[in-house]
Amino acid sequence: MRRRSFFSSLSSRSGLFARRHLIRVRSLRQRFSRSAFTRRAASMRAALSAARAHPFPRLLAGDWLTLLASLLLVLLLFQTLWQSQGASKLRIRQGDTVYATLSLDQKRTLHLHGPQGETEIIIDHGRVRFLRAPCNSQYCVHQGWLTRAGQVAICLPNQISLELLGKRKSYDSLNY
Amino acid sequence: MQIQTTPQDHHIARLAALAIGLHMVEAILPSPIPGVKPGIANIVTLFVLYRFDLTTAAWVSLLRVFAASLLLGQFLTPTFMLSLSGALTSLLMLVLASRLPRRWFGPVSLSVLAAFAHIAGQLLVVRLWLIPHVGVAYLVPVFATAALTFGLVNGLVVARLLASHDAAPRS
Repeated sequence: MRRRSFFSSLSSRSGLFARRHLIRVRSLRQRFSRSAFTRRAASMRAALSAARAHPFPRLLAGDWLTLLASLLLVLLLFQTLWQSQGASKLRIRQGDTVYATLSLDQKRTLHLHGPQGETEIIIDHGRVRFLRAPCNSQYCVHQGWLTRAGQVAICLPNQISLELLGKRKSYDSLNY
Repeated sequence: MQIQTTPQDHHIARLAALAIGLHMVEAILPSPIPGVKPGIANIVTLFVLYRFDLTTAAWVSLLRVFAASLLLGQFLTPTFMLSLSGALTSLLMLVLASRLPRRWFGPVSLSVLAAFAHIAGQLLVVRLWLIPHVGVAYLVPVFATAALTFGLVNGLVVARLLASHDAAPRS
């Protein structure tokens, strides 16, 4: 009696398990059934064929117009904001004072006397350079001609610097 | 406590999550020029504008800005302010641009216009608040080029997504 009940309970339990299992198997089978698979494959194939039909989205007339206008705007911005500003004036500093602010539009040779000796500067119609300097490094001379606003040449040993000025003051550096 | 939500809320949340994901991916990618980013999260905004409406697009865009900044630890920092100003100005541009006739102006137009508005808003904030200096003007052409390039690419992606979204059966 006791035994039977044990078996019966076991069998009923296993039966329950089997039924649950069956249900689970059926649902799994449903999910991965051939029809579902083919349906999904068909939808994917449709999407793929659509992608192949339009590999690259078509641009409308207004799109081309927008792109053209934008391109022109970008070019205009480059031209107006990136043009190198011509310099008009030269500022010479000696030690901690401004020695002179001169027009660049002339041909002139200057002789300045610093702590180390005589420095020769030449202005030549819109450009300027150190021609001769008494310092050892000669960095100032090797810098060559300065032509654009904001350019600077400095001779530290002889304490003389040249700076080209434009219509508006240019920045020294930009930092992010 | 249970907040009552509508299916539309869930939809917006799902789309915003997608945009946040793209925003995070973009934050990881290194950029050759500081400040120049493709803005791939805006693909989602534009897609939502086409598939839903402007209100949903605005929700998705602003949720993305706030949530992504919180996740990246940038909330209320200058980066966040730039992100927010860019999003707001580009949304404003989309309000105007979405009135253009759909027959002639596709997603590419809207994307390029929004990209330009985006950098315009950002550069305005930079000029007025972060770097109050005329030197900022020197950067404008660089950012304008980036806006044109990435606006075009993002717009093409949106057009492509819309095309395949139309072709695929709804699930």
